[in-house]
Amino acid sequence: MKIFHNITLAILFATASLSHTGVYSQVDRSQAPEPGPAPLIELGESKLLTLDNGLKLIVVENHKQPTISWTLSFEYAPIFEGNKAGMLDLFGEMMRSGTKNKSKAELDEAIDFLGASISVSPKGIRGSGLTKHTNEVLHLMSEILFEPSFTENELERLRTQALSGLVAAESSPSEISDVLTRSLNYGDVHPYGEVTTPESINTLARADFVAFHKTYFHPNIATLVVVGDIDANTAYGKANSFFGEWKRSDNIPYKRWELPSRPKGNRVCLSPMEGAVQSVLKLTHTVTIPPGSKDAIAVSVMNSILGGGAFSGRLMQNLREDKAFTYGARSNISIDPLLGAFTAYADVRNEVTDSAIVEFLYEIRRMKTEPVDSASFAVTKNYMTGSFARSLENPNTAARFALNIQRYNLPADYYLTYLEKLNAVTIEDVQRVAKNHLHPDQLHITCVGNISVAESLTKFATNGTVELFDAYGKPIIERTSAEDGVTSEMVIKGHYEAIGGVKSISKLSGVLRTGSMEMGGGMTLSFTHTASYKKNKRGARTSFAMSGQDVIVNVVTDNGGYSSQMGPRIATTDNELLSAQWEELDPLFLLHAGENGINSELLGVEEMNGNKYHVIQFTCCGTEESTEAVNMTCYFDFNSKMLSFTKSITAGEDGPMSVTTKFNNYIDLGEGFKFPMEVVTVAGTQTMAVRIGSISVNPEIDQALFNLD
Amino acid sequence: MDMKYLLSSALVWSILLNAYGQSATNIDFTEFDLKNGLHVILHEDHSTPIVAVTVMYHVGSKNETPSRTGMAHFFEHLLFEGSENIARGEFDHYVENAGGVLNANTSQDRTFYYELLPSNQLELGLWLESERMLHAKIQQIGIDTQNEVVKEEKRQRVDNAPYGNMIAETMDACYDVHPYQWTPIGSMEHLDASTHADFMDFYDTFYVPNNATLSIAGDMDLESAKQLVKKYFQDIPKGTKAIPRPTEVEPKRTEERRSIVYGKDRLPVVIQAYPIPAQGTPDYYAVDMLNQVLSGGASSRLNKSVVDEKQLALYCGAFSFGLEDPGVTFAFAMVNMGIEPSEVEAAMNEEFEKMKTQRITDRELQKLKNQIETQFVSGNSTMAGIAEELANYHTYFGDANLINTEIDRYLAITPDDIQRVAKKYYDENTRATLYFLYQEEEEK
Repeated sequence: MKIFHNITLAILFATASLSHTGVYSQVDRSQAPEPGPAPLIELGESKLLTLDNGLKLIVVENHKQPTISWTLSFEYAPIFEGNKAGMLDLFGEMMRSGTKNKSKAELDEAIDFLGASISVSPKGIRGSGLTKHTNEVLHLMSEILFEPSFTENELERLRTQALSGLVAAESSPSEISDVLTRSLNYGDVHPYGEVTTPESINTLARADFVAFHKTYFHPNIATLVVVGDIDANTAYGKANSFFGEWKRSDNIPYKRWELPSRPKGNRVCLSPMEGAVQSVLKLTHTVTIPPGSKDAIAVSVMNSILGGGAFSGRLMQNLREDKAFTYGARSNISIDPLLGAFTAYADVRNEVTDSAIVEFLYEIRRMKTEPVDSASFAVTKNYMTGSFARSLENPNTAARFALNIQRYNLPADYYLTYLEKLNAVTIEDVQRVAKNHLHPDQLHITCVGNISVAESLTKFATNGTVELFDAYGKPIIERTSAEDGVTSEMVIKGHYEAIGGVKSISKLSGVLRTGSMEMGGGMTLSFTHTASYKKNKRGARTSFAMSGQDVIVNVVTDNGGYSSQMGPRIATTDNELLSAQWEELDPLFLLHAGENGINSELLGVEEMNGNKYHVIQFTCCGTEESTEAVNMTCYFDFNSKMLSFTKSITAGEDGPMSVTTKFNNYIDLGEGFKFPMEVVTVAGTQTMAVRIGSISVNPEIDQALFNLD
Repeated sequence: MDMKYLLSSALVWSILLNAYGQSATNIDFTEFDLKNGLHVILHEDHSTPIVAVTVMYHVGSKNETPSRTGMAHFFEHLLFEGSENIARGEFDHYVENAGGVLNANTSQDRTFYYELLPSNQLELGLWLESERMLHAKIQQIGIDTQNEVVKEEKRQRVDNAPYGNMIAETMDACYDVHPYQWTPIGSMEHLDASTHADFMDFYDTFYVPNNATLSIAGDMDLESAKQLVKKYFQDIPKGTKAIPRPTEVEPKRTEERRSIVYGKDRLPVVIQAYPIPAQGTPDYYAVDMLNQVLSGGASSRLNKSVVDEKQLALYCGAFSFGLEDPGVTFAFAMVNMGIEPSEVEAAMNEEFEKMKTQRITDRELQKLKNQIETQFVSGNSTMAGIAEELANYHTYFGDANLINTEIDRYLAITPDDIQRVAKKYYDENTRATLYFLYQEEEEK
């Protein structure tokens, strides 16, 4: 049943009896006229079919115009590109730029000659044209789909374009704002948060595109949506004829992504834009509201009242119509199966940036603390009902409904009963979902604008600092030179004095630490670290064990070292050995860098995320071809003096890797020395957190632990 | 950074008028005049229960005086502020409460207002538009608020947006005497200096039924609709003032104008603007077809050569900015990193030269015709679009049926026509060339 009862609409649109004939000379303008009887709404039919190879077909027949569009779309888990960020951005153009039989110029000419258009993205292919050219359009689409050439020439052309595009985007406040909010909301190790940079563009190779196409472009994860001047049977026949031989794949990668958490307080994050006369503001945080979930429609109503609609949203009424801060203020909640975001946004002139934020926070809080008034509530529902009805003018809407039901597993009558569900939302529901899903104390308050506004925004930051970011979402490190007379040696000594004293530490014969590391999935590894500092008997052993069995062991002595991971011992050599011997065999190793041939340089003082650090970089022994043996930058807390974290560049499998090690929670367990109770190591997407349970100083040590044989 | 290149769709189409996109297979309509001069066009279509109620006033930025630019666009904002019977803030409210949307836009030549409503709210739409036409309320608080809002609009769209000043700078370079030298957003100083009397004068002069077209498309009964239209509009008095339309004719230039504009955008842009005939004239269509050869689709001359083969630009295209009085062709390129703007300009000029010295082939002509056919057939897929096109064709040409026949004017163009207009109008002596280059902010 596709015809929608008018009863529901009648609730929303008051009906009245009317007579329009004849009586027009005395028009009463003093009031708005009553509406006529509510019209019937038809949802539009769509047919769902499946080919043998798993390709699903959704067909919406509509003969208004002699055109047909064919949209193939793929469904797969979001992909994290890492140091190849940007491959997916270029993929569509790359794939569209030539086939086995046609160069790009020939392909463009063939498509343009028909007056048709075909476009490609990592998520699929879309072709459209006049009905009479259907077979030619499908032929070209299938040629692109099955035999893309991905030539080196085209890659270079697109690389140049991409690099130019990045340069242009550096002067676009709206582009920078998008990058900043994504990378803050999702973090840079999540598919939604990663950022394309010139460096990542330069790593792309032809093989990356070929591999992506081979892995993902398969019929069993695809839906072909056909809209226009064609009936379902004919569409099926054509789909089978052009795409029936397409092979399915049972190796489509799947990965479950962790939900990034919201910030603990409000962060103010500014990306300075020279000469800006407006601040591009977005107040945003992540939300989890899957499509079709119980709250989804109530959330749409709530968002519409706050910042949706054409002009009646509260944000628009407040920031534009009342205060004239902006040309437009709105809000949006993206309802995404994995993780969406709430964003309230406006471009406002510099001088009122802080006042605008005050109003944003006021309106967001008000949605939680006060039930909405019945007048706004009624207008919003009416607007959303009308919006739904108007969307049906486009035949693609029926297709989109069918596609959503399929991909999100919605009930088959989801859209047929949409208006009923909408009508059933209450004022209490709206307040409830506002309370559950709006978090005005866990916001990223982002601003792309003139640096002169920074000072006025400090009051909104829970940590009291306005954090600065560049056009790629990277924190801008403010570095100043160290205070007069401060040297590298003084800073390092300050650390050792704070954790027990240089003299006392130099007398240590050894240290034994034990602890554990959570592996996720309920697994825990136990950690043991034994270090002997006695002259001629120096050694260090680190091991991770599961149920008493060693899983990972690293040993280093003055004579060599090895590592083993559930297998044979692999000798540690050259750069790695040098680095390990320096760090592990001497409790005062930072102070003795020079004696080990390692350079140290006091870079200055840096402020990051509200904290201040003395920064010293240690380097050694790099050549033009290889990574430095030692390249470690140490951050000493300005106030406590203790080593807070280090950033090292080491050689990884795919090239140089950045590793950050944080030393948290320094505690004296009674021996007069402070040790960090938690050591967290982060490298790319991997994080390892070791918690220390016990520490012995000057323990008895069995030298056999350090045997290299 | 996301690869939303600042090119084609988003940026260019939002700033340039789309020359195409009218006329589906056959649009039936009925039209008539009221005694007060209001022209009414009705198109009945029952596919979806919606109706587009629209009014086009034949006033734009070209009707402004040099000391009061920005008036027409500002007035568009003021017309949302209410009327004698509609309190401030209520106008939007009525439409949204009825399940509809509304907006308006102003160009050099006309101002267009529309509501999209469920079809049982046709009468509401007519009441709203007739209230605006009869007795809009122009109050100081509305003037003051919209003054600030328009300033924010200018900041957002022009001052803070990448290449936001491109059109304004180019038009200024192309026109010395004609009002097209300024753009609809106008000058903020002029708006600040405008008085309540200025606004009332503007309203009484231009916002009158004899300067307007009421165009309605959608799910309605024609007879009832006609009665309703008469009910709400026939008693609105005809305007008494003469309607000033510019008589200035921009003289033909004999020497190229070249200039450099410095700004905050990192990637250089090259613009060449050539004066072209007014829309609707025979040569206008030939120029439009010429631009289609240069710029229509990936296989077009400029894209294929300048972007794909020579890789000098991130984007390169040419568009007719068709206007009621003679407009210009905008040829525009975003220069690739590391390339000199002059190299790009030379490559563009090479393509223009080819259009002058070589006829297009028969196959190319067929390609053009296929492209035009697709555009015309795909256009007019919405009630709002149809209502606007009918109003455009009546306002500019006095012939709403061009919605069905204009395509024939395009299809009649020959390769000889295209070559002829290339020689006649793409004359480097008449053009204005601008380079938009990056310059760091001066230290203050």
